[in-house]
Amino acid sequence: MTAPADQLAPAASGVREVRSVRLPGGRREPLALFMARVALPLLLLVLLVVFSLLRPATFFTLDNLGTVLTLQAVLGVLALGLLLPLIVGELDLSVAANLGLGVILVTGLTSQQRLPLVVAIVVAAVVCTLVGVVNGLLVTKVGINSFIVTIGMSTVIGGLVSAYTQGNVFYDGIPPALVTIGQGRLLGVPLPVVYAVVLAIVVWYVLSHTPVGRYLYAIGGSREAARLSGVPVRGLTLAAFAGAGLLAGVAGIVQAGILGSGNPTVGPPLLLPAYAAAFLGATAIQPGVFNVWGTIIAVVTIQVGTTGLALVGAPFWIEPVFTGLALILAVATARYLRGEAL
Amino acid sequence: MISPGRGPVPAAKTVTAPDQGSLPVLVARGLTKRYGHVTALDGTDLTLRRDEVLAVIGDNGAGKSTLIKCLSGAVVPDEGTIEVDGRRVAFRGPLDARAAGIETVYQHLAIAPARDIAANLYLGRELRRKGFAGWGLRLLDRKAMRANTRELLDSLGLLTIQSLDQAAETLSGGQRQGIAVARAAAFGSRVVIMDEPTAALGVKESRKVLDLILEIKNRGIPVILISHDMPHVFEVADRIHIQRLGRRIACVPTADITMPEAVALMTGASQPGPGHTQD
Repeated sequence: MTAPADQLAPAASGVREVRSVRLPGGRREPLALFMARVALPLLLLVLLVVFSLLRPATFFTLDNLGTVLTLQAVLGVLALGLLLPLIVGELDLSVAANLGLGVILVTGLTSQQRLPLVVAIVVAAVVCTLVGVVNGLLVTKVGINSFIVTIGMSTVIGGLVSAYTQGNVFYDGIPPALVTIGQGRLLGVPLPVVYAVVLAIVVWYVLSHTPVGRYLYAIGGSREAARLSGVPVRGLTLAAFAGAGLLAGVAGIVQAGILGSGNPTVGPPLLLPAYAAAFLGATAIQPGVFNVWGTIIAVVTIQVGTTGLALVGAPFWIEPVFTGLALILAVATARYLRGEAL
Repeated sequence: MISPGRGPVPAAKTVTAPDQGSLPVLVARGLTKRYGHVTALDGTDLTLRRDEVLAVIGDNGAGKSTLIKCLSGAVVPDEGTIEVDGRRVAFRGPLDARAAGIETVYQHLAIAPARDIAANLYLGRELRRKGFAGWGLRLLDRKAMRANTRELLDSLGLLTIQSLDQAAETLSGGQRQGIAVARAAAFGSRVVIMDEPTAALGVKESRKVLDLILEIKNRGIPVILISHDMPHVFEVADRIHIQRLGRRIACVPTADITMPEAVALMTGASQPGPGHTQD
């Protein structure tokens, strides 16, 4: 054989040359996968730059930044909770109604029943967690599809909230301390943003750095494989629903503080944005996997986009169109890039 | 002995006390399992000796899978007893069997598709950092798990896998089976059970798995192999356990039986003779 080895080698190895990038830490990964990871953060960056250039006096100011983030902190906390059932492969459609329940309990118990704020907060958090526990029990013990269980639960909560409020908004007798919880600042940072960041770090730590996080992902990947590997599938599925309930309750308490009133209609409209954030977030950082930082970036990106559009004078209907298109485009792009990478 | 928190130990273990030399590792007596009107297991016995590969063969519906599930804790038998190293055990779940040193490679691979190789190898027994970070903060020790995984795959000759960070779903069927077998080899301190490990594999990949079975046996851990593939069975098994209609109808050294005889017994075309059953 006289053919030079360097001519034969590529054909003989049969491996397609994939362009790759080096990550910090020395690992390499395919370029397409890397692009999928950073596509959403890049979009966020582009939006920030474009809107700052278009409206330098209003958009890129600390005040506006604070407003943008505060508006979405509650949604961020709600989406963090929603991640837990999504990761184990279940749906929870009751999180937004549960958030509304939290708002009504903390405002109603203080203004109508005259309970101390601390008691009202604890009761609201416990009741919202129990809603998650009941969801979890119906899914794991009774074996009902989580879609059905949580749609039913969402409807029931809506009815009970109506019964308690009689359709009224609680304005009077809201404790000032509750308003401080929602509107205060720590070193200039709005408190709701602080809560969201702290909770994101906690959830991220549990999901990425503890055995429980691995078990949750393993359950979502293959329930049977997880069970045969000794993972307590039922208990952790139940815990995922309970966690979603608790975080919905916390989001509700913060929302009540931001609004300074108890409005029975405040929860349910957050359901689809929370799902959009979780799914959009699953296209970034760890493409194809529900993850904390992707979700947080998604929440911020949507808000930056819609706020920026409002500031440049886009008509009101641009906002939902932007959100919907961003979701579909991001998922499609991530899917395409991931397909390239595998 | 299994020691939780320790990594896979690639070197052979010596768990055999001198006086246990002749005692079988695993003995099952009269295992019975019914599903409604269907009797999947009808008083099956099974004996696994030290240092052997025991093949379990049988036609569809003979009760092979149910038998294996009883031994691996995935199913609780209605009747019968199981002894490990002479001690009576009652498995209520897969964890109990694992704690007793029995590892199983399931037919439908018990692998989490989206997780990487080290995560799969350690699924259900993750290593945590030493000190407060480990028991207080439950912090995973990824470095140790990755290092041990690399060492283990290397020692088993499985390091053809390009990157340990690959998700299991991006591996070929043979590589995935390799991970499942490696996991059993790493953690199975007394017995490794394999349910149709070559069923979905090509010729080359099957070869690799058969080599792994012999490697595990050479490390001093007996293997129970459930297979439909007679050439594979006759190649690696020391004894053959023939299951028919929910019972063990024969158990003979591989050297004492031919392939056609085994198939005839398995299908009921011939009846077992007096020398055909031994523990």
